[in-house]
Amino acid sequence: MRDFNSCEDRLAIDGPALSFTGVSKAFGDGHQALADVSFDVAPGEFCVVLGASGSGKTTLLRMVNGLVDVSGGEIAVTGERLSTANMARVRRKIAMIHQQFNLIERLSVAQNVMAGTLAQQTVWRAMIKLYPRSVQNKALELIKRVGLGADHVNRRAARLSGGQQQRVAIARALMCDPAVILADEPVASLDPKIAHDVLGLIREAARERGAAVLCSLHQPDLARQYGDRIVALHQGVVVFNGPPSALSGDVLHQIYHMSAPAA
Amino acid sequence: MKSVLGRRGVAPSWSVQRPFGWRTLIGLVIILVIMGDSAHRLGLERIFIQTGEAIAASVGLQERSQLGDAVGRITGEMFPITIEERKPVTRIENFDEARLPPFSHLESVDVQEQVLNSDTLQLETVTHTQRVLVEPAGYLLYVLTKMVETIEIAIWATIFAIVMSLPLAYLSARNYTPHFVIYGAARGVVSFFRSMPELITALFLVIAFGFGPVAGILALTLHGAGFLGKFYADDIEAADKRPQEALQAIGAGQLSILRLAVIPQVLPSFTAQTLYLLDRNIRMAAVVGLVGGGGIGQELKGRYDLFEYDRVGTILLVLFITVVGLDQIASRIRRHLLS
Ligand SMILES: Nc1ncnc2c1ncn2[C@@H]1O[C@H](COP(=O)(O)OP(=O)(O)O)[C@@H](O)[C@H]1O
Ligand SMILES: [Mg+2]
Repeated sequence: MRDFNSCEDRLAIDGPALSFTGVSKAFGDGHQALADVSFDVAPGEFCVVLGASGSGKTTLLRMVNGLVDVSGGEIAVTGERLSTANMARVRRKIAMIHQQFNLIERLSVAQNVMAGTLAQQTVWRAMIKLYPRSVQNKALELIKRVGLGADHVNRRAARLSGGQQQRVAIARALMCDPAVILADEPVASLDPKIAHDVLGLIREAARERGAAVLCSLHQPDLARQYGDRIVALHQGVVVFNGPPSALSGDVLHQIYHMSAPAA
Repeated sequence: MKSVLGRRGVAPSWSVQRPFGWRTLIGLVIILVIMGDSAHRLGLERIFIQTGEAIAASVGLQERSQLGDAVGRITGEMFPITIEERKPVTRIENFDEARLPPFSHLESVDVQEQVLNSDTLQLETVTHTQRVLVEPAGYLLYVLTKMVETIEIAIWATIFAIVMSLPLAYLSARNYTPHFVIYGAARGVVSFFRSMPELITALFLVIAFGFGPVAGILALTLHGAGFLGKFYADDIEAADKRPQEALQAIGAGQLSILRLAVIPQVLPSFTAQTLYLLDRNIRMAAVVGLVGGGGIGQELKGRYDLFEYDRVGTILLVLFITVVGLDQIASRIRRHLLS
């Protein structure tokens, strides 16, 4: 095994925040969800994974933080290759935003946001839900940053609207100063107007912090508008990787119509 | 082209499937026959016959009924219930007339006694004056202290049951157990505890720990731990997976996830189950008292065996009012927590 705490680690600062090399995934039932996926995401870049339902977007994102095992190829986060041995450490650099927000509904907004630092806290802090002052202050700052008011801080997460809940989830994601933010269809459950606000917020907040974003979407117009780059998936295969301006109608046709283009 | 054949290989037809078939009907008939036989063996018809007689008697169609007579006799002896406590001062240790208990007074009563005259060898009625300490609400107060003791037994048993069931629930929740062997063992222990009837456990615990609250508390604890352990574990297994996954994704530990993403979600359900157990424990604490597990049940058994139905009446009334009152409080707490 290579030692990532040596110079390679530091060299990686100039390299990609996230890289996939020949990544594939076959589920237990033999279903090939991803095949030979290779691309990089630079620090601060907003990369959209575009694809129809079932194309493998969720699987790809969940492999990055180990919620799904990798079948083949390798994934590296800030130059550090993922393995079961270093998963706990790598996870601290990765945040995730979910389609269903995945907040703890009966806890307050502040408690939800502070839970974003759980990997860095001792167990007894979690038990009594009391975090250090610095964490509390950071949480308040982030709650303000995502556009929520003081009246939301101690309100139960369940009391908020969908858009507000996703803002809380964004604040929670930012708590651990992630190098990579994974967002799996973060606006699929939101109204179009709110969807724009939330995507804009993710992009701006990530850019301020130099965090790379890997965001899956199924709407081409949103992908074009917010992506610095688009990676299009079709049945587990990358069929396009480039700037939004280069995304052609042919690619969209291939993604959204099940029949393969006639050769 | 899709096959025109349906799932079972028969051509689909334009008709609504019947909601039940002849198998269901035969099954129902068999169940009814079994129930009829069981009812006959247990003599359940007496429920209807005797209740019917009692109703007939009460509306004047019948002179008297067995059930009505029994109920009349018991209520006749229970009422009026006994509230005061009277004790001859000669039977009070270290009686000090200068320091009577609050609200009590002394009365002199003439007591008639049949005494055998040793000279004439005849029974004679002798009257002598006895001084009696009368506490106007003495017995009621005593029953109330026993009721408080019963509630204390129930509360302690509930607390111990919670403490015992939390680790059991953790080990017997499929998604948190450290190992499937431990899962199986913990589920086994939980079922075993739940299957132990309090009254029978109490009988044995009274032998081990002697008469009194300790045996009662332990008997209720064991059953309660089995009850809560199962329902807590089921709640943990059924809790919304999404927040748990969100914390898992950022590298939080198992215990932290359990504490922050599971406990808050299942707390209303935990509370409802715990309140149900407390409610049940208060009634059961009275029952285990019957076999010597302390509290009001022990007092009830003693008076019942002495045929002092007027005091049994006091006890039952206090028990009834307490259970109804606590039920009101419990439902208020539940409503508050579920909102
Ligand atoms: N746990 C699983 N077991 C088997 N197949 C799965 C599993 N999860 C996803 N799949 C399959 O993998 C493919 C990609 O799914 P997914 O990554 O969820 O796509 P998307 O997020 O783009 O809709 C789908 O065909 C899906 O049915
Ligand atoms: Mg998906």
